Amino acid sequence: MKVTIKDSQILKTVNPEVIQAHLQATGWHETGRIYNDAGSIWRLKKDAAPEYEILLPLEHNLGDYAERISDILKTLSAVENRDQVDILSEFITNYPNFHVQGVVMQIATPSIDKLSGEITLFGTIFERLQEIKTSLADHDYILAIKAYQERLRIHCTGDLVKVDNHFLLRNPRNFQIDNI
Amino acid sequence: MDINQQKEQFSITYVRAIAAVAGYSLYRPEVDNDSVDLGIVSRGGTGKILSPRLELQLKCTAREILEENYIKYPLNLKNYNDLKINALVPRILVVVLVPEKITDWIKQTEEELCLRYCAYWISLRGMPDTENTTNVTIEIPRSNQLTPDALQAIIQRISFGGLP
Repeated sequence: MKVTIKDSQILKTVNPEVIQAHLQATGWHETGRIYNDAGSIWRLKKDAAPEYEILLPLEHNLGDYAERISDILKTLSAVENRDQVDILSEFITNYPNFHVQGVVMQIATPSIDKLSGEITLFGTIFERLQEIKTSLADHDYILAIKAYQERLRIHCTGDLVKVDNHFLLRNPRNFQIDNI
Repeated sequence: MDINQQKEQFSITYVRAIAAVAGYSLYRPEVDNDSVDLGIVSRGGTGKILSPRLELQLKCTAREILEENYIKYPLNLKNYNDLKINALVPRILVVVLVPEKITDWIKQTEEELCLRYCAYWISLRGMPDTENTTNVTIEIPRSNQLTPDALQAIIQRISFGGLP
């Protein structure tokens, strides 16, 4: 299935540095800058196909930031023969107010003096199941233990970040077990 | 089809005819956005950018907006604000002026198909903030007609990293 990302809010969360690193690692080269470094031009020569070109927005306040990220996903999807969703999930490093649905996969050893600890969730991020670590305390922590023991589905909101290729959910809030 | 849809279809057709003569293709934006109706792309730019592009906010009006040297178009605030900020693919406002009666929009004979009246363009990039609450009246010089030559000159400037 060919999926196109149209949601500008999601597209705006992608940082240019992440795309730049991806382009450098996959054979693209920067050929110039436009509009006082607001954007960079990247090219790739592959097989007999005409040279591919990407305009990478370097400033988040550009009026067409989301549109240009969308163009990039489209181009990379053609070049790499992968789904746009697949590529986007690699690029997302920071997603505020992300809503996770999933299960509690692991409860780390609790703190000695406090009712809190680290837990690992298994949930979908852009149509892909991923491990997400977060820290919970008090009532939320008890709920997580209950969900873990009884294998109940949970949902939770937080600020999703990617650190060293692992997802973390910071400031978790509204942690709830589904349907109770 | 209501009159607004007819105006939209007609203005897209008008731009499509000009782009075809200039040698460019059109595309529809894919991201949710109500300040870009149409994009124009050229393959084979000669400058920094191989595929220079231009994005258009299209308006079509039958109102009396023609003055001696300018047309005056009341642009809604949302569009004004979206068109004045910087963009990597430059955006312009295109106003297609049409006759009041729909049947007058085209003149057709065995000799020709004529689209009436004329499209004008302007870039609002870098325009000042406004305290208006609904509309901003945009003055477009009547010399800014959207012709194949004008479009080619715009695309050429963009290809070299310039503005429309």
